[in-house]
Parts: sequence; C-alpha cells; structure tokens
Amino acid sequence: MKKVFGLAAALGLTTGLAACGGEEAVSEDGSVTIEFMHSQVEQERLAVITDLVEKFESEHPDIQVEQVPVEEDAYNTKVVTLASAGQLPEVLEVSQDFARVMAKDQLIDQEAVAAAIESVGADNFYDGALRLISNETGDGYLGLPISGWVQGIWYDKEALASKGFEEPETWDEVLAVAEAFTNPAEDQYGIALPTEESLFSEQAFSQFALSNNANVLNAEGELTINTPEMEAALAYYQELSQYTMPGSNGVTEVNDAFMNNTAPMAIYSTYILPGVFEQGNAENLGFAIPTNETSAVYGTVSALTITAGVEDAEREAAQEFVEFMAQPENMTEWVLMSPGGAQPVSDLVTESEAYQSNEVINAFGDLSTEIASSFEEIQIFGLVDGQNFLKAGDISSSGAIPKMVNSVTVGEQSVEEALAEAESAVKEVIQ
Amino acid sequence: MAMASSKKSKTTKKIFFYIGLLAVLGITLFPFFVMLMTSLKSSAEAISRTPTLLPQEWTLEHYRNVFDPVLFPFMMYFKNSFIVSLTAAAISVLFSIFGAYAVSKLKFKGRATINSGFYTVYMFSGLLLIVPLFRIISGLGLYNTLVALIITMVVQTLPASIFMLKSYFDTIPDDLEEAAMIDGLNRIQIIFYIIIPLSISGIISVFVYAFMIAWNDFLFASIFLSSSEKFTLPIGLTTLFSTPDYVWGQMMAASLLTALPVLILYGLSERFIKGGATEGGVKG
Amino acid sequence: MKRKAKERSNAKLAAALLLPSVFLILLLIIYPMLVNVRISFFEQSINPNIDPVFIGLENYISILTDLAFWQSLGITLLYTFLTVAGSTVLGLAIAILFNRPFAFRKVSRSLIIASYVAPTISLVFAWKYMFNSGYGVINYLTVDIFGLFETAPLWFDEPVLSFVIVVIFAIWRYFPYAFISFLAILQTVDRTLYEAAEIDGASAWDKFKVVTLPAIMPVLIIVATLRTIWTFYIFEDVYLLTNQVPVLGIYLYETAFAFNDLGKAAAISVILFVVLFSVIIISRKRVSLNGNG
Repeated sequence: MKKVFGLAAALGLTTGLAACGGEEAVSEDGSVTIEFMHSQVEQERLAVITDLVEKFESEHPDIQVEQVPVEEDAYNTKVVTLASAGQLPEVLEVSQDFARVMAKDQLIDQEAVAAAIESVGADNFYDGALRLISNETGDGYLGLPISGWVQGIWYDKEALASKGFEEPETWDEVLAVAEAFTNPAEDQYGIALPTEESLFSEQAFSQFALSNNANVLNAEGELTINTPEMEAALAYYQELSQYTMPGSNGVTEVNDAFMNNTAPMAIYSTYILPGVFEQGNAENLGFAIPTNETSAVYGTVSALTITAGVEDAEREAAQEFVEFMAQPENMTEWVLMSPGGAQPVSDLVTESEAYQSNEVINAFGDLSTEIASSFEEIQIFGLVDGQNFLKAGDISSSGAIPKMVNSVTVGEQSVEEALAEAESAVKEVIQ
Repeated sequence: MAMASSKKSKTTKKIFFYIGLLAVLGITLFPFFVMLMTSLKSSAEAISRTPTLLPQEWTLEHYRNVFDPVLFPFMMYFKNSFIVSLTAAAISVLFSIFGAYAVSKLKFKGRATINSGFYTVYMFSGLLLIVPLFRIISGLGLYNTLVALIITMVVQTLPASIFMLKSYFDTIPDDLEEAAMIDGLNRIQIIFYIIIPLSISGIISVFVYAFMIAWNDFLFASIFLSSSEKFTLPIGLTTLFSTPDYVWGQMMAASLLTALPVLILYGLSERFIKGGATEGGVKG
Repeated sequence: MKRKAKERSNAKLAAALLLPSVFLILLLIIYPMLVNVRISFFEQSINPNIDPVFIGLENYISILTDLAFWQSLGITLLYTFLTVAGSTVLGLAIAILFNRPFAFRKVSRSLIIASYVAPTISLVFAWKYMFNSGYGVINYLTVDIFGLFETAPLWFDEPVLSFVIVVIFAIWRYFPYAFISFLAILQTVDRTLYEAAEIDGASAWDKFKVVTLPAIMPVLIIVATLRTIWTFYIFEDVYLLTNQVPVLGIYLYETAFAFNDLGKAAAISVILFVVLFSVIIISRKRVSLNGNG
C-alpha cells in the first residue's frame, strides 16, 4: 500500500500533462472554429443540421462549425464532464430546465444571448417561448428559442362521440369521460395518464396544478408546495388515476395505450402526432387543455445558448451562428426535422409556406394551428409572474414531485402525507 | 442383466440431461425469443392488446430500416464498435497475460503489493473517474478519437483480466516450466509455448469479457466521442430507444443484431480450445 | 547466491512484464482516483472558472447523516449478496452441466451467454415490454392463460416485488460470466480424478466436493470478488428498470450528474471504496480461514 501512495509523486507528471490540455488557439489564419452541441442524433436530423451548417459556413467563410451530437441520456453527464474541463462547446442546444441548471453554475453568457435575440428581434418569438427561457430577474434570457413542444390531453374524437361526449374542457368533464370508458375487466381505461416516478409525471401533474393556480414557488420565491390549491390538484390527479392503466405508466405505456385504443384520452406531448399520422388517423385526433381556475398547457422550449468564458472571436462567431439559426427559414427546417412533434416558437415559422405545406402539418389541418397557438398559454413550475426562478431547477432535480405523484397514484399514500413529504424533501435541497 | 439396467439408467440419465438442458435454454432465452418475434411483427401488432407469440404477419421491415444507412448507419456504428472492441480486447489480453504471468509465476519483492494494488484500485467507482479521465484524454489530444476509447477500455478491463488469468495460470504446475527451462526455453518462450496453450480457454473467456465490456460501453463512448461518424453501436442503439416516436420492432431488431457478433465470436472460439492442449497438462 | 541472482533477474523480468499494465493503471485510474479524493474536501462547481471552496469534512458529514444513504447502502449490500451468490451458483451449475460432450453443444454454449453480451438497454426494454400491464406477455401468461393471479401484480411498483425482479434480472444477466469462467477451468480438471472417485463409490456431491471444488476454488474466488465489485456499483440496470430500488450507484450518479455536486459525489465514492474494501477483505479472510484460500 505504501508503495501505491509513494507513486503519487510520480504523478506530478500526469498532473502537468492534464493541465496543459487547454483548447487549441482560436485563430491561426484568422478563421474561427466553434462547436455546436445538440441532441439530434438521428441520422435524418443530422443530415438537416449538416445542411444548415454548410449553408452558414458558405455565408461565413471564416467560421467553421463542428457538430457535437449527444444522445439525450448522456447530455447531463457530457455537459458536466466537458464543463469541468473547460471544454464546453460554444453553442449548445438546451431545454429550459437544463438552461436553469447551467445558469446556476454561471455557464451561460447571457449578454451574448441577449445580443443575439435583440438582433433577430424579440417580438419575432412567441411570448410564451421567451418567458420559458427568461432569466431569474426577468430582464434577460438564458437562450434563444428555436423549437418546442406542448403537452395536453389528446383524445379520440370518434370514440368520445360514440358515448355522446365532446371535447372535455373542465376537470369534471375530463373525469366524466375517463369514468365512462373505464372497464378494467376488458383492459379498457378512460385516460392514459403518466404515474411513473419520472419527469413525465411531474410535467403532467403540473398542468393540473397550474390550472388550479398552484405553483411550487410564489412571486417572492418562497416554497408553496403544501397549499390548499396544490392539495386539490393532487387529489384530483389521484382521482383521475383510478381510470388509467394500473402500475407505473411512463412514456411508452401512455403512448402505446393511446395508439392501441386501450384509452381514448392520453396526456402526452406533441410527439404523439407522428405516430397518429402514420396510422392515418390525423383527422380523428383532438387536443384539449386542462382547465379549472385557468387553463394550463405544459410545454418546453429548446433553445440555443452561448457558453460563458470563451474568447471574443469564438463568442462573436457563436453569436453569428445563433442568429443565423434564428432566421425563419432555418428555424423552419429545424422544426420540420420532426414535423408535428417539434413545434414552432415563432409566427414567422408557423405562417411560412414551407411549414404550412408539410404533409404532416397539413394532415392535422386546424389542429396544427390550435396547437401552435397554445404556446402562448404555457405555464410551468417555477415561472411566476415572468420570473423564472433558478431554484426551480433544483426542485425538479430533487425528484420530489414525481415521487409524490407516483406515491398517491400507484402507491397508497394519502394526498396530505405525500405533500408534506415532498415539501420537506424539497426544503432540504434548496435549504 | 446388470449391463442392461446400467444401460437403461444411462438412457434415463441422458433424457434427464436433455430435459434439464432444454429447460435452462428455454428460460434464459425466452426474452430473446420475445425480442426476435417482436422484431418480425408490424408496429401495430407489437402493441396489440392480446399478445401473440408468433407474428400473425411476418415482416422484415424493421431489419430493412435498421440496415438503411439514411435512417440508421448500422454498418458504420458496427465498424467503429468492432475496431474498438477487438483492439481493446486484444491489448487487454496481451498486457494481462504478461502481468498475470509476472504475479503468478515470478517470485520477486513487492509481488504481493502489486497484486493487492490491482485489487484495491479496482474497488473505486469507475463512474467518478470520468471527469479527471476526460481531462487527461483531452490533454493528450485524444478527444474524439477511437484511440481514447480503446485506451479507456483496456484500462477498465485490465485489473479484472489480470486476476482472472492469474487464477488460471496458478493451476499450471511449476515443474512443467522447470522442465521447459531445462529444455532451454527462456521465460518469454515459456509464456508463448507453454502458458498460453495450456490456459487457452481461460484466455478466451477473458477476451470475451473484455470484448463485451468494450462492445457495450455507452458512458465512456458518449463522452469521449463527439462526431457522429465515430459513434459506436450502443450510442446508436440508445438513439432508437429514447426518442418519443420509438418503434418497438426496430429497437428489437437492432438489439439482436448488436448481440449477435459476440455470440458468434464465442461460438467460434471453441475451435481454439480444441486445438489447444487443454487435457493432460495439469496433473495434480 | 544463485538464488539471489535468479530473484533479481525475475524482478527485472516482472518489472518489464508489468510495466504496461502498471503504467496505464497509474495514469488512468490511480491519478483520477487521487483527484477525486482531493475534491471530496471541496465544494466544487462544474464551472472551472468558479474556484472550489475548501470545506473540510462537510461533504462526508452530510452523506453520513443522510438516512437515504444508509438505506441505500443496506439495499445495495443485500442486492449484491443475492446477485453474486445467485449468479455464481447458477453459472457453476450450468458449467458443470455443460462440461461433457453432447449434441448441439457448440450452439447451446454460445446461446447461453446471450443475456451477458446483449446491451443492457436492450435487455431492460425487452423485460419492460414483457412485463407491460397492457400487452405484456408475462401478464398474458400468468393472468389470462394460467390464472396464477386474479389481476396482474404491479411488477415494477411494489418495492419488494421490484427488488426481487431486479435481483432475478441481474442473476439472469450475469450468470454467463461465471459460466464461461468455470467452464474454462473445468476443462482443465483431470477426468481420471472423477473415475478414481467413482471407483471409491463417491456420490455426485462427494465428487463435487472432493474433486471439482478444490480445482475451481481460485477461479471461484476471483469470480465472486469481481462480481461483488461490479454489482456493488451497479447503476444502469437498476436505474432503467425501476425507481423502487435505490441502490448506491443511482445515488452516486444523481449526486454527480443530476445535482452536479462533484465534491459530494467524490466523497461518496471514497466512502464506498472504504466499505467495499472492508467487505472484501473480511470475506476473503473468512474464506482463507476455511482452509481453501
């Protein structure tokens, strides 16, 4: 053992080696290379981005853009590792949740992002999208929105009509439909509802909570998990879960149950559209938004952000590239990588010829516009009166809310107990 | 009479053996059977509410998609994975043959320390090593190269490979070596002419282990590689699994195709074992 | 004199033979390990431009006073014990079964390791697919065909049941490793030893105890020790299967890569290192006390 530690001295060498691992000089012949990290790993999507990058490079011959596609499952790990080594790519695609996490560690160059948004024009984006990615003080942004998705209640129009129902709007109507279709003996359930201990359940539950004016933080940034409004929402979710498939339902369970007609309603993101389109059922799909005190759509934006602490030349190039990607025709191409699934975050895209004429978008007709405009109604946990609290990122990372949802739907816990437990778990994380 | 009954008991024994064998294979392979059948079903049938054992309508659609380079560059991922795994496993086996021979057969001061040192370092979680490891890799200019992955896989498998080989080498009696020395062989020749042939099936199991670790690695590959033309199979596979518009049949088809090469490799290795002088060398 | 010289030349040769392995391990395991030991005393941001703050033993204290850590440790130890024992015994049994000539031996021998070589993510999804409450074949067989249950159990939701499934999954997934290791060593056991034992009228169990076990003991120890180390840090298999079994690998992963708290994660790995080290030292001592070491 002594020997092993004695060898530590010899390792001074390797420390030195590791220390000189800084990035290569920015410019040799005046040209700048920047890296662009994104999560579009699928081959067809990569091809689209490669085209965009080539187009950019031909417009900016002095800038090279290298793509770093990273699988979603490895995104966090990779960002943490690269960031610790000071090797984070200059431009990153991030979700709003991840943007908050990065902002907390001061990894985002908010000035550069603001400059990019300003040069494109902030009013070109949906307010809803910009709100999601705004910074804590509400006077800046953590990224430039490029696409997004929304989540709501999808329903089978024909099935609902067969029992005399129309689009369910209020909590009670959703419950009534769900009850009418549930018959466990025949494997029939009213609604495919996420109950798994995962982010998906948090997202679904948040729609009901926010539609009852219950948020996890108030305008002062104080924790408000254990309130009568939240309790009512959780009790409602528990009641609704009687009419969903038994056990923990996650993305596959919910999607598959809706697609194989186990349930005529499902809470899912717009990524249900491609599958429905493929089945040839586009016209039969309806979209409802949970409404009680108010209506709440859940949604996320995917944004391009610029890394803090890079050299000026790289920073300028990064800004240049982000602005390029925000051009309507380029954003349209980005969104149409997964038509229907990914949603526009700008009118300029929604109204563009290329977007309107896409066969998937077309097939859903008015529904496409309805979904796109629902972006304005997006509400998320931790976003209160235009303030996007960074600690909401920690609340989410703590996993307390999914656990709470899971324990009252699949587990046997009471609503009060689950709320109290979630509250104390979150308190521990945000101190 | 006695002969007949012993023959009879031999037959019953054989029947029992085959029943046992079938049971073992049936249970362990059942999930693979489900995977295979799902990969041959249409997407609608895969999630049909009355599950079917065999596809009602057989389709090769998912296999076609997996092999369509526009949709899924299976061959490219396969090539990268194969280069990494084969090289890493070969280097790991070679280094560990040397290392294991030293700790098994040579008497020198510090042998016990080295041996327990290998053990000790192996007990530290590999997960957390990744952050400093990445700094070294990028410091050496190896970020985004298959070499980075090969080196990492060699290091990840070395300690286990050495322990395993040492335990196989330990069973080779010393007098065999002494006899060879009298015949004029030096230590290096002994390794190649005596030790390796005598423990060939142990070496193969180490090789399979190292190959398999490299073949299935997702964590290190996803961190150390950045451009998509260097991606390995597990990264590609994860892509299929974690999209919100997933297709069961495609996931299953790609999974089976990923497992197949290692199975074939192990199947073929039987030949080497037959070729090697595994019998007779070790006499107690 | 001669002996001394021999030892010296042995030492030289050993150094040369060990050089590549030792060098790589020093550079790529021990150095990163020491880095982790260091940062376990710091509050370390993932942003290298924010200076780490020395906080002494705070990380350690916060872990050791965290009830979740102790629960997780208990679950992991039980999980490790069951998985190691199960996969080793099963692997050995099947290796003995296979250690004879029979029809289709080659094919069976490679098929049996399928679960070991297939990527984790595929196997997890295949299991989840089979256990799906709506269209899963397991529920279809156990409820609709054989009527074992009235309604299907919530396989991945009930903590005890999920624990059992996770253990079975691990045994199924990892027994082939023990299988190939044992098969390799069994092939070196001299057949005549069994014949001799048979003449003495030994039963199958006696033959196993007297001939097989001593022959495979070194491999058995290695296989069990390595499997213990691997299982102790298991992460992906459990993480993807269920939320009901919070093993240490998940605790560690989330601290490092969900909360981005590298200092605390490093402290966890130091603690786990000490725990694992003690477990293995103690169990190895017991094995050698039993006289087979």
